[in-house]
Amino acid sequence: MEEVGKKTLLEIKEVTKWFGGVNALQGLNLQVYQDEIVGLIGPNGAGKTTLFNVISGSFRQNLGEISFGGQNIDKLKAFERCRLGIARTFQTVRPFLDFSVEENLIIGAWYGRGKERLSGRDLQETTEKILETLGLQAKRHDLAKNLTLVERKFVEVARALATKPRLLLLDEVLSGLNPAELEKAVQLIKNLSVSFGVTIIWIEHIMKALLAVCDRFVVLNYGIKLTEGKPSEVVADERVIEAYLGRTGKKFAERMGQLNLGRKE
Amino acid sequence: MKRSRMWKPQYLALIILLLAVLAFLPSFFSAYIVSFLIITLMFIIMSCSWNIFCGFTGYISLGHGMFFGAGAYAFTLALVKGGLPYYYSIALAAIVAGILAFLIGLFLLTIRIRAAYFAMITLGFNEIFQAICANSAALGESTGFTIPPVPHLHVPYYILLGVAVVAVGGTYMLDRSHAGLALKAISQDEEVADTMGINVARLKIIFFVLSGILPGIVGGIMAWFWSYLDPYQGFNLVFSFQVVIIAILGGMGTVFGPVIASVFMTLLIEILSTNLPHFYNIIFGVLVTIVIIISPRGMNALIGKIFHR
Repeated sequence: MEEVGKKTLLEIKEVTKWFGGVNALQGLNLQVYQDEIVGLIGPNGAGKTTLFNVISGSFRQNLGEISFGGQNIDKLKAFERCRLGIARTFQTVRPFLDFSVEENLIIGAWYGRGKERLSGRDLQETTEKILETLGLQAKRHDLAKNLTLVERKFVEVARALATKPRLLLLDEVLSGLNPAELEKAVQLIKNLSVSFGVTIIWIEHIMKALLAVCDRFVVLNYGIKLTEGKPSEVVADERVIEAYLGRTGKKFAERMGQLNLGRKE
Repeated sequence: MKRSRMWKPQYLALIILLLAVLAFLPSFFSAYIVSFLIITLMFIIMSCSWNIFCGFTGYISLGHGMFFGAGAYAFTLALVKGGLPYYYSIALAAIVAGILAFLIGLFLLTIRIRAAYFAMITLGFNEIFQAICANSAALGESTGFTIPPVPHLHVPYYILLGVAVVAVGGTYMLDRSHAGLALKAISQDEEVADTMGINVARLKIIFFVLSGILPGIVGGIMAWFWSYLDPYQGFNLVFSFQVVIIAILGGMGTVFGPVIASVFMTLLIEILSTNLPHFYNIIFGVLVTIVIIISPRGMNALIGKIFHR
C-alpha cells in the first residue's frame, strides 16, 4: 500500500466488541499513521462511535488488541489513555455545561497531559492559542450552557486539544452548521493537524467536508471494515454506495442522476 | 465569573474581626451561649465536610452521621476502655473515621454507581453501625457509655472553632484549586471527566476520606461534651439528614453557604424548639421549602442576589 514507510500511530488488531448478542465490531483491523486525517464513514449503526469508545477507553473491547505509539493500551483506563495522547469529542456534545469556556479548557490542559503539568503562564498561553484557533476568545467567560450548539461543539474540540493529544477523535463535529460556517470549519480542521501536530480520525456524514480534508477513508458496515483507501475511490465504490442507500435506493439514485458522490465539484 | 472574584481587603478585615470575636466570646458569655455556639460549630463542620465531597461531586451521602458516630465510639472506647489521654483519643477518632471512609470509598466509589444508590447505601451503613453498636456488649449495647465530663466548656469550644476554621478555609482553597474544578467536572459528567484525563476514582476517594475525617473529630468532641454516648445519639439518622438539608439550604458546592445555613438552622431550632416544641419541625420544613423555591442554589446565592442588586 501507499502508506508504506509511514509511522504507525494507532494499530487495531482483530478488535471485537459485542453488546449482549449484537456485535458492534467484528474482528476489526485498522492502522492509522502519524499525521494523517482519516475519514471514518459508514451508515448509522455501523460501529463508528463504538470504535471511538473502544479506542478512548470508555469501553473495553471483548477480543483483540489496540496499541498506540507502539505501546499496548488494552489495560489502560480512559484517563490514562487521555494522558498518553488520545483525546475525543462526543457525538452527543458534552461540554461541562456549568463551566465557562475557559474552565472547560483548563480541565483538559491541567489533567489531560499526564506528568507534564503546565505552569500558570504556559497554561494561559496554551488556552489562548486554542481559543484563538477556534475563534472562541470572545466567549471565554461565557458558561457553556449559554452557548449555541455549534459553539458547544467547538468548545469540545478546544477542550480535547488542550490535553495536547497526538490522536484526536472527532465525532460528527460539523452537523448542524450552515454552509458558511461549514466552509470555515473545514479549513479549521485541515489546519489543526498542522498547527497542533495531531493525527485525526473523523466521523462525519457531510461527504463534501470529508472529501476536502481527509487523506484516507475507512468504511465500516455492521462492525466490519467494508473497504478503505483514497476518498475519491472509496465513495465511488459500488459496495459503499449500496451500504448507504441499499440496493433499491442505489438503483433509484442512479436513475435520478443523483449519484455524484465521487465527482469533484 | 465566580472564580475571578478578588480578595478585597475589607473581606479579610471582616474575617479577622469575626475570628477575634469568636475567640474572645466564651470569656464574656454564659455557659448557655457557649453551648449554643458549640452546637453551631458542630453543624458548620459537619455541613462543610459533607459539602467538600457531596456538594462538589453531587454524590449525596445520607449517612454522614456514620463518620460522626465512628469518631464518637473510637474516642469513647479509647478513653473509657483503653485509658488513652484525651487528645490521643481525638486523634484516634479522626483516624478511625478516615479509615472507614476509605473502605467505604473503595467499595462504592471505584465502581460506576448511580448517585441515588450511593445515597441509599450510605444511609444503610449508618443504620448497620447503629444496630451493631446497640447489640454488642463490647460496644456498650443500647445503654452506651458515660464519659468523664469536659474540664471546661472552653475546651470543646476552641477545638471545634479550630476544626471549623480548617473546614471553611479548606473549602475556600478547594473552590479555587484545580482539584475543586475537577470535582465539579465529575458532578457534571463523570464519563467525560474520565476521558479528559481526570483520575476520577482516586479523586473521589481522597475527598470522601477528607470529608469523613472532620466529622470523626466532631463526633469525639461531642461525645465528650455530652459526657454520654449511646448508639442512637452516635449514629443518628435525623442528624445525618439535618446535615444534608443544611448544606443544600446553604448551597451545594459553595464555600460559605453551609456556614450561613448552619447559623440560621441552629438559631431557628433553638428558638422554635423552646417556644413551639410540637410544631417546630413543620415550620422548619416550610421555611426550607420556601428558601429552596426562591433560590434553588441555596442561601449563598440568595444573599449574593440581595447584595449585588
